[in-house]
Amino acid sequence: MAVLIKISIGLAMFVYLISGILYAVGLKTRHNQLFQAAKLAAITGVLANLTALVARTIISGRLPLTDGYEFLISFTFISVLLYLLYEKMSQSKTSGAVLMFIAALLLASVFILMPHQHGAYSPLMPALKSPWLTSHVLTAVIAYSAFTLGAALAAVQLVKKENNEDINVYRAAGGGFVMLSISIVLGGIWAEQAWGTYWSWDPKETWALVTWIIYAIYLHVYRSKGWKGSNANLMVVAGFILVLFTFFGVNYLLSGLHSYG
Amino acid sequence: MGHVFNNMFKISSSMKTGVALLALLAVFSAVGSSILPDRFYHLLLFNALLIMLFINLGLCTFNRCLKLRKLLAKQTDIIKQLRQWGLLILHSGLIFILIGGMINGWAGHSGTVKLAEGERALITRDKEGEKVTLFLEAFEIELYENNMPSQYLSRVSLYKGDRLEQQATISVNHPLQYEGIKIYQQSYGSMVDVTIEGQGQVDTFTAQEGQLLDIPGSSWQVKVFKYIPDFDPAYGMESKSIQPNNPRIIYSVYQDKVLMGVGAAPFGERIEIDSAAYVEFNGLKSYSVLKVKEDPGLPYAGAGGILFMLGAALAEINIFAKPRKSTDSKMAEE
Ligand code: HEM
Repeated sequence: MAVLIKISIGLAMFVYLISGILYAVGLKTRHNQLFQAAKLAAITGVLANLTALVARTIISGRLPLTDGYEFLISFTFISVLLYLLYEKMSQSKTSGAVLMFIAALLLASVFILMPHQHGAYSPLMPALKSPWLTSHVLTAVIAYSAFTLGAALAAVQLVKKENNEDINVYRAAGGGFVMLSISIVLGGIWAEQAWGTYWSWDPKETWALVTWIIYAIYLHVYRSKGWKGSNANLMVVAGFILVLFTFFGVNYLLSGLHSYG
Repeated sequence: MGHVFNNMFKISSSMKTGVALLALLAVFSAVGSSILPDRFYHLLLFNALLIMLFINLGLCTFNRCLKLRKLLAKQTDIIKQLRQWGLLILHSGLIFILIGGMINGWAGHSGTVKLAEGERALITRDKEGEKVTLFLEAFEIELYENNMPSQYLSRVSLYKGDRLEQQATISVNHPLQYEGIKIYQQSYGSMVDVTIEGQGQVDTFTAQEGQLLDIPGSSWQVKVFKYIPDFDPAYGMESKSIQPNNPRIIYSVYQDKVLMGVGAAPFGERIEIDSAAYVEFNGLKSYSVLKVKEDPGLPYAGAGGILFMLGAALAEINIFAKPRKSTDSKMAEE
């Protein structure tokens, strides 16, 4: 099983990368077949990614939502899935390259930071045995994925100096914000049950709050004069960088209650 | 005068001020968590900022409440009406969360109690001054097949005066609740029963790990350093497993505060330190560490959290509405 998981993730990473390249070349040359191939690669990647998640669920006997490793592969899976849905609905393919490169990088970080974890899992420590925790992590994964999509859209808008998709940046960031809000409240409920404090200003909580505030500010100002367009999009990109910092920086550089995953 | 007041109200209730305060809060949190991770959030500066945000949110939400009828009448679309409700609920939720936090800051408190099996501790006094006590019947650790802990359980009885009020099992993620008090399983540890003999005088203690004991009539001291349930020299001071396969007490011996030796003793063995100085470790008592918390703000924060989640979902429900190209710009004005 561990080998299957490792191969699936390696394959997913590889085809996400190929897909990203195809999307990028497609943008330059405007060949529709390239976009078709890119989408096919992305779908292959999503299926491989899903295989890894299912295999992990089978060996551990619980949803793959408990440690940093599982978070990353779920996060990548939902991000690409959301992108494919978005592409289907909007018929726009301009952000595919950025998104697929991010997905490939996220999976690459699994190989760099956690090379031995594919089949490794340990039984849950008592504090982690809570349905609140599972729902907290699930909503966080969805929020992060929506922010990833939002950032990919916003980055393209910034580079191309366009604003025809600002409404979709708003939808992704707004949806991510709702999910992050729900996630933070669920996390608070869990912490209250497990540790007796719903908010303890540990580094992870603090940085999640900072991230959440950036998106709250974006939602308040994105349609006011000085902020419409690039400045607002810049905030969505900055928010995404904070999302990554909250995950990688806090998990691997700082410590706290959340340092186990 | 009235006009100054009016301006002040406008500024302190404006969304611009709110956004500026939010930005400050983000900067302060980020910087504070790096430079003063333990103390920052208790600083007056930081709490003043939260109170200002609270006032601003309160005024702003109050304003919107007054305008709600007008705002709703303007919208014919059900999604946009829901959005107005959502915005109100969302911001009210935040206000409740801040209220809950402030009440906890002023009136809440928490502490820990260490209880060995068969011990009793005072938890609080009720309004009439009667003692509320907690009695630990048993403390257990449940294990997975690979011997990692899967749950810590404290079987307790809660008394008011002499009257038994509640019997419960407290475990991680399952606190006990009793009239505004919550008791959580926080941690555990072991204490060691020790007999010490010096110049014919015999003393018994229940010592905590790290405790230093004087041997009567001598300049010797014994430190009960650590209990190791599964001792193996290859593992040093770490236990091979958490099961008591080879239980030992690591102890150290001092003379006139100078370390003279270290040993790993089994239970029930009389150890000779000097001609007339002996120590014996008789047995182990595990204790449970429980967190006792009283937070009168919790219901407010909890209600706020629920309102906030609900409101956020309603306020952003418009992201699922199909944007028609021509209305994109219009939508962006609301
Ligand atoms: C503490 C954190 C806050 C959060 C998380 C928050 C969240 C939100 C969200 C998600 C929206 C909807 C935005 C959209 O979808 O376009 C919103 C709108 C709004 N917020 Fe806040 N808010 C906060 C603080 C404040 C403060 C302090 C004020 C004002 C004093 C304020 C005033 C408003 C107003 C007036 C709107 C309506 C904007 C519009 O319809 O154009 N908010 N808020």
